[in-house]
Amino acid sequence: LIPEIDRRKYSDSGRHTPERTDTNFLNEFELRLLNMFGLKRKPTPSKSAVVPQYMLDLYYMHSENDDPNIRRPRSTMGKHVERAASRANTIRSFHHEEAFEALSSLKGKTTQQFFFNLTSIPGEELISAAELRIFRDQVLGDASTSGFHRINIYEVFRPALAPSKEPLTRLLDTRLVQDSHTRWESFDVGSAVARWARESQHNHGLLVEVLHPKESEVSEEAESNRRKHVRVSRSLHADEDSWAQARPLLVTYSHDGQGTAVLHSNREKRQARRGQKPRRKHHQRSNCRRHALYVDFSDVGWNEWIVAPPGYHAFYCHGECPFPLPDHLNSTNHAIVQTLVNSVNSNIPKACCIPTELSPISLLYLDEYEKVILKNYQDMVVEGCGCR
Amino acid sequence: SPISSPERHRTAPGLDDGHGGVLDPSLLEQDSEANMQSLMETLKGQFLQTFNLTRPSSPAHQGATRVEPPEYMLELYNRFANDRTAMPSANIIRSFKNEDSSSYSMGPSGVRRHPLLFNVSIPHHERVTTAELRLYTLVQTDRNKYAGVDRKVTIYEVKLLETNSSQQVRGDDVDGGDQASKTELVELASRQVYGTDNAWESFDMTAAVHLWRKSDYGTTHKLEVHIASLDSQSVAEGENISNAIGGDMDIDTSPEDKHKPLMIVYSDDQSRDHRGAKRELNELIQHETNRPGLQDNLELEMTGLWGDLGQKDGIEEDEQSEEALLQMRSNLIYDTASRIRRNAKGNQCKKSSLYVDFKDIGWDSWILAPTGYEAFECTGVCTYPLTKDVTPTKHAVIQTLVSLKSPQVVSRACCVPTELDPISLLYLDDAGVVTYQYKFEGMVVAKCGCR
Repeated sequence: LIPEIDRRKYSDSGRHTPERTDTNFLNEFELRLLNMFGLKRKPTPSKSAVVPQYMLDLYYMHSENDDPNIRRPRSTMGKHVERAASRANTIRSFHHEEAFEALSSLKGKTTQQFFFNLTSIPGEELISAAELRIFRDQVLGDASTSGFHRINIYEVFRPALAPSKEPLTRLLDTRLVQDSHTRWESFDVGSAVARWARESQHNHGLLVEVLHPKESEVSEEAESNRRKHVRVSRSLHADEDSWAQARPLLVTYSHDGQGTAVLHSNREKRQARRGQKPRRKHHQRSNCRRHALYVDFSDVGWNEWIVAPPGYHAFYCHGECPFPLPDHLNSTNHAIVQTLVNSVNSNIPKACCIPTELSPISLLYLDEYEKVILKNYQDMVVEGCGCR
Repeated sequence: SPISSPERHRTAPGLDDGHGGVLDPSLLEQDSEANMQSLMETLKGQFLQTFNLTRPSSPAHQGATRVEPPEYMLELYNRFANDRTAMPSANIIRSFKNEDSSSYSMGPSGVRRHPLLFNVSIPHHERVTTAELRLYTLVQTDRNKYAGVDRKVTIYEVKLLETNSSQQVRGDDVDGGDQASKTELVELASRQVYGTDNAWESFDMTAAVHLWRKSDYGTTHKLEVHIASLDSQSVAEGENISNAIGGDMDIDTSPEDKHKPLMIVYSDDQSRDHRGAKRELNELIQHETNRPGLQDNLELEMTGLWGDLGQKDGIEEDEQSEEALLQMRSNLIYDTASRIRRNAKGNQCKKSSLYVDFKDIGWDSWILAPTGYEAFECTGVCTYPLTKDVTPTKHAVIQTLVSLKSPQVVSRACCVPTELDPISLLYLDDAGVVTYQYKFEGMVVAKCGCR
């Protein structure tokens, strides 16, 4: 997280820290910084890292960004997770491990097993909901032959004991869909995922079963088209370019115990911000108060792992802590005493103008496993300043 | 008015009358004509305030004569302030003095009656746990015998009757006639007191104080202390016994004496409550205004300001640029000075010693004990990279990174107290009531950090 230029610059002034090597010191600092942001290793996303459109949509839906140019997308969130999401402050997304795919396609039925690696979820996070999102593509053909599909989602309790046998499964969710529509479907897999997060040895993945009706006199071509309606496999389609954005996505909603929810806190923040503006106009200009400061993440070298926003309004505190301290500067008794001492002995510094109230922002970022996470980060924006 | 016309302010570094320190530098940021008008009014007010010309202090806070706290309150303070194992059941203790200095009168059968007057005012948000009336008894023993003096001491509240008709009043010690038709005595506490020497005696007033807080009669309450011999029921017999026994007992009500009657009220302000903390803060802020060092402090700041104003005379600039310049000037005059001074020691952010003598800051007029305390302060630099020791927030980390890249945009995070501890104080509140507070919050630096 430390910019390379700054790393070298700091090393040049190594004489200030003779007790330890500069490299170790910087590494230790970086480790603490990572820990503060909830990361175990420095994220170094590769060029092929894919950010699901759904996560970007979630970010813009919940973020405080007031940019009128960005139209807020209509929510495609499943009803079953919408309530839980209002209590979560972290949203994680997972693509399945394609190496563990198990595709089976028989006449009238297509089954696919998906395995998701959830080891990057910290143990202390509490998962309140999870959804499996599957994309459906419109089937073009004779109007008279349009049909319905039944999609069943199973949790795999025990893998198949032999290639010719079926795995032991439990039905989690089911839906009847019409293949003439193009849209994402959301299935409730929360109970299974919550168990996997607690006991990873039970994670044998999900089985998606697509039942499409068998009709007499249907042509071979129509049958082939119907198998492609639900996109559960790369190999079913020749179009690999769209696979990255159309492949199934597992999304978890969790809370790490810090601060408030993504959705809830932003609402409060919006209200508070309006109420604050009139009051600020009456402040003396040079006295301690909040000033504008936009932080561009590329300036601090964080744009590589922070997907959105590109920067944010952090604000900063600046100004005089005058004697006597005005009421609105939110002072402590010690600050008042120190200001008084300073007024009779200028060798003692005055109280300092610092943030006394901070609020979170939503960040969409890639963690060290290249997972895409939407998280409510605490203590990022200055809401109020005071003398301390 | 000692202040010259506004035009001369722009060119002269100080006022003609030589009192340049009177100006409040922050007010000079306003350049418009209308603001200058209000600036002149404010300056006049500040000038008069500096020399205490318009706002006389309340008598309780005059520095001329120091108010001596009651002996009992000093004992309480020393007990709780020095012994950490002692934990008061209440965190605020107030002592109220008797405000009726008239002498006692003799009732029938030789009963001695002392009138007392207490103005018991407690903030509404506080919960009273205990109240007691403390009386210093003066014992005069018979030289011929070695026995002590035995008396019955009863505390009454003098209440006004709402009706004009005369009533049969309980108690054998009340005169008939006019007084009976206007007041009645309500017994609050009664106890037999045996004394061999002068000593303090205590009577429980908790129930009475609770009633007073609920009533609408205000905070002033009249009491009477009745001192009767044990055999007062028989007139003839009483006289004989009194003569035979000898000795006497009375209470000390002289206003000049340190043994005057006291009403002690123990309460809890539930200091986690925000209102309590706010009240504490306001109390301190009020005491800030009475400052002898105000002039010197402002004079230093004035010099820099006038210099800057002079250089900018006649230059036209747009609003945005003006705002930036104002911010830069503010940075040069105030904030950087404070941060540079904090950096002067060249060390990492840490806690260091700072003993505050209350006399130095003029608070000895209302703080009775202690005379000073170790407040500590936070000194040092918040240098990049911020380590765990200075417990930075995410914002402080980001601000440090931005400051490293663009120092002209934002300064570094500042080394400030992140955790504070309370101290015990014995002080005079604004009403002149001697008050003990077990935990006066936010007075001592416990930890420092970068914010």
